[in-house]
Amino acid sequence: MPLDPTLRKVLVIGSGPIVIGQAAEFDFSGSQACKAAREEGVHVVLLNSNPATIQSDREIADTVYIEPMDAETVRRIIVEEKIDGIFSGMGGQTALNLCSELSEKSVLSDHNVRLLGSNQAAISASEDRELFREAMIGGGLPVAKSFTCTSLADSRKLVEELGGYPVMIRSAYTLGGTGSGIVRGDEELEYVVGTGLASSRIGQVIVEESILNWEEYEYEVVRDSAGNCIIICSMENLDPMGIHTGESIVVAPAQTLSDREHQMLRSSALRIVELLGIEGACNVQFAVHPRTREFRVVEVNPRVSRSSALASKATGYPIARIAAKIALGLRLDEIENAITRKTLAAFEPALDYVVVKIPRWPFDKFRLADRRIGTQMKSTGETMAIGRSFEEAMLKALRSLETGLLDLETGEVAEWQDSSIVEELRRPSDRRVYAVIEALRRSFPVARIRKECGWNAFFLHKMEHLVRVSESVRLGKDGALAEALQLGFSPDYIARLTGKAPPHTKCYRMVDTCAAEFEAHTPYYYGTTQGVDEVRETGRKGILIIGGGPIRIGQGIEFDYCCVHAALTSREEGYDAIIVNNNPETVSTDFDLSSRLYFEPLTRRDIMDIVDRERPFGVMTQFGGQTALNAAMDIGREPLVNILGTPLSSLVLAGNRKKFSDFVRALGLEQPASLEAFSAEEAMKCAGELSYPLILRPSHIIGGRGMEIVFDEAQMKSYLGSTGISRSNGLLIERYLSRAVEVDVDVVSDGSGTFIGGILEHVEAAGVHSGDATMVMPPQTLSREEVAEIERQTLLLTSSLQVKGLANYQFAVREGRVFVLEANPRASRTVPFVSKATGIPLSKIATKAILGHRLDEFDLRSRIGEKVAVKVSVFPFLKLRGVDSVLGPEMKSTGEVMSIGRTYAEAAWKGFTAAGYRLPTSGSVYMTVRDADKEQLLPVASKLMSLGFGIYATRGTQEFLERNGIRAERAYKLSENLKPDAIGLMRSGNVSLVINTPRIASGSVRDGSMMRRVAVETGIPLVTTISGAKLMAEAIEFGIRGEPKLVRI
Amino acid sequence: MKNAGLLLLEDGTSYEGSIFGHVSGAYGEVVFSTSMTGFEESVTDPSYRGQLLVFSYPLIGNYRFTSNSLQSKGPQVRGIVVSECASAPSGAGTSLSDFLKKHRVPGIEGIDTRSLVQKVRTAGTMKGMIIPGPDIDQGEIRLREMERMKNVWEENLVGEVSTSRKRGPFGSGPRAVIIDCGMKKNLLRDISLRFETYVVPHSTTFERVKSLSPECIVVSSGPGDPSHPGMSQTLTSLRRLCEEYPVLGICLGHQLVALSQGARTYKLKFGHRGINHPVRFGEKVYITSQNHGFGVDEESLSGTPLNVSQRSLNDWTVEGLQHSNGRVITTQYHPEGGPGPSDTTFIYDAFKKIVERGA
Repeated sequence: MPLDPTLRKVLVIGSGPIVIGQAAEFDFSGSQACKAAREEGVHVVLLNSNPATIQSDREIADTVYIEPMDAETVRRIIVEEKIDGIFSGMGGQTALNLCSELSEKSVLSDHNVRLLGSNQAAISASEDRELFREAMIGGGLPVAKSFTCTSLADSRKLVEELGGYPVMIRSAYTLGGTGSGIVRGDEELEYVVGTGLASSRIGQVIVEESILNWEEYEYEVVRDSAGNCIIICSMENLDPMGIHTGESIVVAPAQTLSDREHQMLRSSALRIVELLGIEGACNVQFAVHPRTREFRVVEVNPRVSRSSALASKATGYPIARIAAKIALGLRLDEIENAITRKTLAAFEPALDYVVVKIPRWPFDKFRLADRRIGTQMKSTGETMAIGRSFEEAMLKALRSLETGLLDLETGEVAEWQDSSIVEELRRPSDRRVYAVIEALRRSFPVARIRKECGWNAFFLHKMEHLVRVSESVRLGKDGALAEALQLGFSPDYIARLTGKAPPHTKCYRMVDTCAAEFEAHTPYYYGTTQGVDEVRETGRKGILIIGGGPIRIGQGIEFDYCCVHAALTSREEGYDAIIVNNNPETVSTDFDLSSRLYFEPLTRRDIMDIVDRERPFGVMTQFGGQTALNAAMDIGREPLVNILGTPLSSLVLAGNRKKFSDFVRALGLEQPASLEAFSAEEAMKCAGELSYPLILRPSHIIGGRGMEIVFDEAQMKSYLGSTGISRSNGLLIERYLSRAVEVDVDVVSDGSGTFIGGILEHVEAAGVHSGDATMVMPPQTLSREEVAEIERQTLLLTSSLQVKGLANYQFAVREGRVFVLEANPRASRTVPFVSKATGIPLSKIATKAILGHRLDEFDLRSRIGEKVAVKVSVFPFLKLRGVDSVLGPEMKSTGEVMSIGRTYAEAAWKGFTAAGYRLPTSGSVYMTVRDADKEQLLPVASKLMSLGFGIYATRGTQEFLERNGIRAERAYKLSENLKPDAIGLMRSGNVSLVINTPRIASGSVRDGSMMRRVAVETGIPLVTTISGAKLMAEAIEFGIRGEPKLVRI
Repeated sequence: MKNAGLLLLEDGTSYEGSIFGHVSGAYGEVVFSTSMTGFEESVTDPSYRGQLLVFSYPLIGNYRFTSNSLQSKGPQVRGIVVSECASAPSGAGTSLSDFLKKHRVPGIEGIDTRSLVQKVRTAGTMKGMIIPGPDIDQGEIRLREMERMKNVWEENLVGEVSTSRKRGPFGSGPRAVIIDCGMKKNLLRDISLRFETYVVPHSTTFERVKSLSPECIVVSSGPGDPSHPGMSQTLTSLRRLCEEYPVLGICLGHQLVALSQGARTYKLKFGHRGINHPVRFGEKVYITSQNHGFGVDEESLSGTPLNVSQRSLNDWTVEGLQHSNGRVITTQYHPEGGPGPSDTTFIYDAFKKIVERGA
């Protein structure tokens, strides 16, 4: 089918900021969609509020909007750009929901805009629970059996009909899952059905067959408009139903299905996609009974997804790219298979390796969060590994998690009692896989482990095999070493068992979509101990770029963005760009992005093996975040390694707080007074000398507690009580500069000249982690002299650290004095933001500078003009119970949005809106602020009052406001036991904004956290700093009085 | 290593591994399949008769199975070559290793099957031997032995796998006769779901077939070279059958129909073996199960009443034929799956329509 000539301009909607459940996979899919559409000569307009995406680069899309992702913004883009069609399936649930909304509001029909890919009927039939059920039943496909009933007696009969407990009870027509749950016995049934009937608006409950603990499988399907339909990959979840697939360890292809079962699910998947009329990519989930082998259709995602990104990387088949071509009207047999270049996209990949995916959870950062995993996602990212055996892939995946544990090491789980191990198997957290290893090590029978955790015995036997071999190695048994190496154990792990790393060999094999049946051209490799090396030499000099690994709090998509630029630019410069990374969601692991892609763990040994094979001309470690920086430290002194850019010695210097302090002082620059302590007593003494408040910075943040601000001796003692501080693990104690303005500066240098890319002022006062802080560019409150002083210090630091490439500095400014807080001679989180605000691609220029270009070769004129750019962070508080939403020196955000406005207020309005704050236009504001903030609250309160908002305040705040002539209603703290209290006000919908600055800005649970929790759960905007409140009031004013305007970047 | 063994190829390449299943030697044609599921169906598919089957997927035998999924009475391969045969398979039933042991067929594991596939892909299928432990050092002697041995496809393989007597009837509907050249159980299942089905030996004469009063004929899949002298009676019968009856040819059956109408067949370099092969039929693409080492020469079709109706999207070879009389249709692939998808079972329904229309 020829491309439709009426399709001239299309809109690709991205997925917005990185949140739990939506990570880098949609940058990958959106970027592929943009490229695929432009290849067909279509003009691509892109909307994404996330600046740290490759898709929002102007090389990828023709026109880029970094704007809030709401229906009104899309409408305005449709009108302004005369859009002909919108891709609905490339930006996750965000884009899909937006398209549904636009369709319901008839924006699409009014402006003659087509949905590209699945149409609205297909989307609705997939997304609406009831419609979906009906469609499945109509098509003869099995879904979980379910019946409605109106009495307890009936429900008992239905339980019998379903074959007994457990059953799932759902209350009809209630919100939020009241009266729903898995029921395991008569008593429980009585209770749940009782409350369910009572809370149901129509006195009805649904008794449903429970498919908890059934095996879970996924199929990735692609279908074109002619009805051609293929399966790209089958995937088997190790963790059974009841654990979200994003939280499961997943193996591809499915291992334990017979061909009959596989064909049964495959045919059903094809039938489902056909029934729903999906065009493009679709993910279908099935549950299979472990014994009877009956199956049920669980759900579908009518779009590209995290699973499709995984399937793309697992097979080499570019699902998003093909889905985009299909959305433009092409048929599967009209699209070339870019890997073989001979065959077409209409085929099903065959694998000759095993793929294992393990999620990466943020609980090393959130020690107080509830670590149990279940039906809701909590992981922030994932890692994937490829091996010739399940064992090899599993070991590599475990190493890729970067938890500090190698292969079968289980960390603290090794110390657990047997009972805790059993409990972990039964009610899993992020540590289930370690509990499995530990249980096997303690000789728990496989059958018992299977019973507790529901993993198929096939996998447990394989894990047992690994444990047995590692034990044999530890005991020095004959032949064990050779077997261990063959299985894929890292020599470094073996060294931890035996004290000596054995010599080993590794080769790299190709991912080719066809199991070697045809010759392939993809430079996509994985390391294995089995077989023959297949890497193709090109004769060009290679640059090895160390990627960022799985997405974590503090290590987000920004670094992948920088790695991608480094790779593209290195190629542009005539080098081979060699990427090593293990994150299947990312653009950097797209097979055609680099000259050679190694899908490998990022441990020292795994990287050195690649260095041995590639003998690269140089290694770039400044783009892949902390992971790559650690790699630089680990391999920087190896003879084959030539770290390009800033010298290793500067990296070491900047990373050592004590040495760095001396260095800064020697330059004649100021730092907040600090002392280093190596024992608890010493720490208390130092604290006395420096006087409170203090910032505590442990020099090695691995697993333990991170930075914290303490305001008094009691807090200091409590901190020391829970932190291992020792001779080798020092603690830097630093005077906390309260009321200082913090500033981030990003620069690029060619070794002699330096260009200051941007100075970003933090909205929150110093003490809030720069990854969480709201930032504005250019600075809004700094004087010209202060800016000049920041620039002077920046240039001095840059030349003294001999920076070549990127560097980031953090300063605190107070009363005209500038203090150096940190220097990071590497790409920072804000590089994409600054690049997009100014139009100057910093990471690209940095790569060129590293490769020998001079800065004066580039056009370094900023395009920001009179405009203001704001960055707002987004947080996972709703998904992670137990994490307090107060901001502090420990980073908590998962992602960020950017906005550009003509004024600061407009940029702030757009930024908050884009970050998901529902900025109110009326209602009441609940205020409770600490004494130190009261003075500054006055202008905020009076502005809100003048905008027509009512004010509720707790005693201290209320009295202060009244004294200053601002009317405020009294609200009570929970402990006061009087009405109205904060929670009652919020729940009743009386409050539309909460300003709560707790007395102490640090992470632990205390008074007020309950109130903040309710704010998070009810979606009421919450600000926890007074400067944040000030900006939010400005934004609210703009929302009421201003008229936002679209900005093309 | 337990039960050390060797896989030796006619070009002198050897791969060390260990023997599982039955510890013995085997000689055969080395072919590979890319299917990731259905090892027990493949092993028992008569089309693999005489072959040493290499699985490109590295984990084979992951689940236990029952006789329900077998495609014939026992293994048809002479041996299998894998990277790893599961030692603790999932589920209930027989394990692959025990199955092979029971039927006295050797397997060899620990082989770098990807390299082997690459070799076969570039050099074409070749003779090979599985050599058990004690004879490992006799590589040279075995190599010379192998040189003298006939290619497997020169053997009368169909004669070994075809039924020796008439069987049936199975199912109900219009009467069909399957000419059994090495039929898979799945084919009988699919045909007998729609027809009253008799199965007859491959060398059954036209008259004998006719005496069963069939309304249509199905020519099954099977091993080896369709132009083997052992197939002459089949071709003779087919020439007449194609004139008088609706005929459905599957795989080898497709090649035999082509030969009977004056076309030629040829040996493919390394064949099509897998369950992911895309075929274009009209405006649509179907994913098919394939297992064949020979194909129909497209040029030789000119002058015959046969037209190409389907093609491989991988190499554009002939995947389906249609007779100008509209009553003879063939597919090079296996609509019956086993292993593989059942996306093309509509072929049977189409065939049944032809039969009913003709009646």
